[in-house]
Amino acid sequence: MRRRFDHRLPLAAIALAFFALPILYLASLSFKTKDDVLSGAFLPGTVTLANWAQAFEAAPLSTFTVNSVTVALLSGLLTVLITVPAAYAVLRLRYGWQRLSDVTLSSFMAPPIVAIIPLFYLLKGAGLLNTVAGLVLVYGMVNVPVAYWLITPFLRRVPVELEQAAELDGAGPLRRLVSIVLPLIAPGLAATGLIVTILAYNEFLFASVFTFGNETRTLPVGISLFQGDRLVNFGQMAAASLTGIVPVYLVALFLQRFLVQGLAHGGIK
Amino acid sequence: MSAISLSGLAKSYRDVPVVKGVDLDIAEGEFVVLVGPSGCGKSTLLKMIAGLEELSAGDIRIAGRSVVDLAPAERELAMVFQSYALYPHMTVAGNIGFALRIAGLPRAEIDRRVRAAAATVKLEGLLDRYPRALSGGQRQRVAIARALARQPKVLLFDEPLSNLDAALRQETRVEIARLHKALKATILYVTHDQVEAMTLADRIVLMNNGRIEQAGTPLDLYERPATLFVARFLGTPAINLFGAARMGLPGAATVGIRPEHLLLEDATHPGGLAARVEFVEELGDVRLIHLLTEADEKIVAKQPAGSPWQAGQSVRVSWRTEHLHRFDLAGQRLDDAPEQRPEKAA
Amino acid sequence: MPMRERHAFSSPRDAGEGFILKETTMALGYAADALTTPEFDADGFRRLGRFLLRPLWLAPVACALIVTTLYPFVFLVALSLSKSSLGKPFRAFAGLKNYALALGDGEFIASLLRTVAYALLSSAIQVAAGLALALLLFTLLKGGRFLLSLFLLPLMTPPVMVGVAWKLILAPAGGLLNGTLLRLGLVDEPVSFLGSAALAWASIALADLWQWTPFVAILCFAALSSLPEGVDDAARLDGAGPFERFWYITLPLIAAPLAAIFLIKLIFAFKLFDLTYILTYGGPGFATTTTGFSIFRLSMQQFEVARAAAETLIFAALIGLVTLPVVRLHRALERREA
Repeated sequence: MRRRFDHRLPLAAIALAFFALPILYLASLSFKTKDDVLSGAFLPGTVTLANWAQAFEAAPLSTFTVNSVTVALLSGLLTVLITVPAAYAVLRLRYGWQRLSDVTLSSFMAPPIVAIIPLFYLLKGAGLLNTVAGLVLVYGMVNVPVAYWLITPFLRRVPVELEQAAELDGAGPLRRLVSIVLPLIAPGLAATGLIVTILAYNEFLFASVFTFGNETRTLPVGISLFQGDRLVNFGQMAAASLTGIVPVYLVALFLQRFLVQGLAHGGIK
Repeated sequence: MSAISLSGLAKSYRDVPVVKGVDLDIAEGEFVVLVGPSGCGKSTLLKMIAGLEELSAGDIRIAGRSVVDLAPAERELAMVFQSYALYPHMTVAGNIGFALRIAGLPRAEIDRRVRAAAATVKLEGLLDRYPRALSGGQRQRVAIARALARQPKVLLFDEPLSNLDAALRQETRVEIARLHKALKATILYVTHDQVEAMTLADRIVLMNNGRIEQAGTPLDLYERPATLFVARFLGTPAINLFGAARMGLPGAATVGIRPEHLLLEDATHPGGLAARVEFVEELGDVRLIHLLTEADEKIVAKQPAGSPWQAGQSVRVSWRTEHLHRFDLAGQRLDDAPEQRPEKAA
Repeated sequence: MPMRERHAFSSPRDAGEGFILKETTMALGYAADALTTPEFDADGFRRLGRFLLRPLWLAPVACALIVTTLYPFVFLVALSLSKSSLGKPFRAFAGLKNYALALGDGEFIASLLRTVAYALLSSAIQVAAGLALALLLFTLLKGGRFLLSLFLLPLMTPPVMVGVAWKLILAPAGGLLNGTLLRLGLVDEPVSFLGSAALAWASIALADLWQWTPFVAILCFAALSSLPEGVDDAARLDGAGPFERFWYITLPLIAAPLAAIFLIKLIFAFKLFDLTYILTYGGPGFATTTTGFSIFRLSMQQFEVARAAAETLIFAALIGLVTLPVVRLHRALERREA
């Protein structure tokens, strides 16, 4: 068979280059010296590690990282714990109000800005303003519609007969969820958990309003303040930003299988 | 005491009735096959008995006890699903033992009963396999073993052979019959396949449109179909039907005669209906002669191998009166010819 | 004996209007059964217990919905009718004064128009780009799946960091884009990309596109994967070229999912905040101030929470108004398929 040149390959390469460019440029910048930055070239002339050290000195990046990771993991767990039993009860057990699915999903339409003033007063009243716990609670609840949306197709795909067989075998609803359904939807569960965790990790608006001390700030908030600082140079900003990006990329790289699956199955069915 | 007793069982989805009042008693150790066309309500009826569908009306008694308010697992029955419904994340042993584990039986007892159930269906070597590593026939046997392990009072089968290929279906059918003999279990078996019904059943319950059309032994149903529907449903090729008036049989609306009861003679022979052979299906042991009558009715006659009929030939078709099935306008069987039953003529 | 709905798989649509009444009678029925049995009825009590536990399955989600949606709306309505500041809410009843203020504010109305225009335009562009990307990857098949996971990275990047990265690329002094343009001799002096209204919007749109197109592409990829097999081959045998196959076969078949994807993207587009915050802070002037951003500044920087509440509710109503036709379109397309 004669191999023809495939004109789609260069197109794919261009697309890939476009999507890789900003991250690669950040990486390059973070190793540039102050003068080198002004050249506007892609690659650094001389490589320096100074930006990384200075970035960590100029801002408590490690505290931010710890805050971000804590908030993301706890709120992700909370979201899954809130959502999965309810989605299972509504979709499979037919408990309660069937329209809960629609209501949950449509509540996602409102932009977060809608909730910001009311939640501000709620957290203030509860004494949770400027606390990690407050952020965990807010994210844990705000991401419920996303989790509901992601887990639904997985739950729907579990054959009804399997649960009927388990019911005949004497398994109650909780037992069926834990012993039959959860093992079968494990990939979907992983995807859902991962995505809501990453959403919480990336969130900026709530965090910027509900926290106002370095001891509680998350990475996006910390870096948004950092970039507003006139004294900080491009290299340091790049280094700080990368510090925030690297954890998500590591997770995405190792668990990409679940992510693609979760995102692709969600949505359009 | 009946093993299962159904009275006035009915089920509607919203306002659409699916099962319309079913009464049925199944004796202990009896093998009853529920058969009927798809959508006749037979699977729904089975799931109602299992407790997987709620009732709209009626009562179900298992071994004399009303079970309508009991959860499926409390009804002491087990079910083999059409799709087998094996737990894909559990081994064969895990599948068979799941109910026992939930019931909280001691480990040794579970192990003993899993092994016993597996042995009954010859699965001993496969206990550590996962369902995905099994063939269709093996999965089927796991599903049966899982049902047996619970030592149920009643075994329910929901079209268990429909996912198997023809050869395996035959083999498994024999296996299930053997199992019934050995275990003396009460079995309620749903299928749309009349061959399964005829070969397996002690008693066939033929359902149509949410009701029992006729219940009886396979031969009963075949030889004395209570309705036109039953007559048409059982038998391959299907029964031949004629308008009764044409046949000179007053009182009936439709007359049926099975293909094996048609007698063929060459055209010179007096009497009978004139017909022409359209084509012949050669099945080896028998020949199916497809005929077209003068009135353009298509009929089929079953003739022994070696019979001389060829396509294009003109023949005369006749029959013996006792082989005729007569039905009224509503499709109900009319009892046998008045001249044979003079006492009924009055 | 009365029949009661109890089992899991029974009636799929038993959640109608008489639902609370039905549930209550059922609970009473279980209790009566358990209590009137002469001997102690353990099964009855277990069933009653299990039934009473049902609300617990749903309570957490209901609670989350109340906190994140119902309570905010009620609170905003109350707040919008009051005279309030961030520190001292609900000082007096103000009637519809806040709504009058909001609707009389030309800058607020301008922000609404900007937001809607941007949401519709950027979503359309991104769905087109995402579909193109998905088609490209889909036809490359084997490599497609691998590339697909690489394209996850923009989606996973925190939006604040996306803003920072693009801000550095677009910077007048030392930015990659200006550096490249200067070196190629395409411009004589650095362009201030974030300094003019049109270029600032283009910059935001570019960063937004970078972040979200891969997500759209993944959803499109899934839609393409669900196409019936052989249809494309049949069209090929019928002599249809690549463009004809796309226009007459692929596009009509994925119209419904595509509408869903557009809807999802539209919802996300109305949430745009982080990128404008980092890249332009609503500037130059108010040129890139979206409604979300203007509400944020009004409430959290000028502390005028009452007027912000009124603006928020107007904004929410507008979003509903804009998305409703898309929801309708999606439903119509789905019905056509079914």
